[in-house]
Amino acid sequence: MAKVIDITAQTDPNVHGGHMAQYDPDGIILHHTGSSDEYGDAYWLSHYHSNPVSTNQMIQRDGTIVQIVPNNVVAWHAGTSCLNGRYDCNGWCIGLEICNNGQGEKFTDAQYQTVAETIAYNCALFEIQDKDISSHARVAACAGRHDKYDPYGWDWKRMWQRVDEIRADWPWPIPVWYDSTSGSRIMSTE
Amino acid sequence: MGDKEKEAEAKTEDVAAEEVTEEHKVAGEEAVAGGQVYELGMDEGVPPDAVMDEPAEEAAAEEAAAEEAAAEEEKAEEEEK
Repeated sequence: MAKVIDITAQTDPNVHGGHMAQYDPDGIILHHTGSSDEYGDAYWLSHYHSNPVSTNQMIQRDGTIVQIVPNNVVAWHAGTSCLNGRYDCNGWCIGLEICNNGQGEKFTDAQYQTVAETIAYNCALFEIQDKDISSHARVAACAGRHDKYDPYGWDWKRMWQRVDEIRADWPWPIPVWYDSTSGSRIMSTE
Repeated sequence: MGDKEKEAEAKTEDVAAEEVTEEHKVAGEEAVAGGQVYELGMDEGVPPDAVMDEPAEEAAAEEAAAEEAAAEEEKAEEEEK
């Protein structure tokens, strides 16, 4: 399983909103960071500055997940956006920033593996549907903005193949299901 | 939407790498180094209130109830004597 480094306790509360409106996320949006410095990215996405921006998870080149904002808290990653008729994707989608310079750098094998794992896991945990997983480029274009192109060069077919493989051979011994109505965690051994 | 708002909106979504200084990189490295490490799926850390706290509260309540029951039993035994 992917390694997670949780820095949410250190993230500036001024770079994210409160809990998502429906408590759980309903979608996932993929981005690239557009940078080659991962520590700089970690700082930029977790601290307030003149261009406030944040994300829920950042995927480093070695496949490590840096958890910057909890997955059910609004992070600022998508801006003006729309997916399947729902606007303001920040309010209901997990943001995944994949470390990549955005100028033709190849995404690493470890990044494909980790992104597939976190998608499979969060879809199971929050009952997110595959149709609600998309790119920043697409959700921005759906809202009439055509200046976004990330994640540039991402191989979606490869990602979905890996997600399918993980789902077919579910790796977690005790799948965890989250009941959004009662607010309780349901542990299943099936 | 005014020009200033448009500009802010355009800026809001990009990691402006060119504005990241050496100091920022060091701060970022320190933040990552100081993070809590776990495996995906082992500690979601996400629903902090209801999900993470509830079992702990339940366990504490159960423990308190058990202690109270034991104390009452002990008292009853003493009274019988």
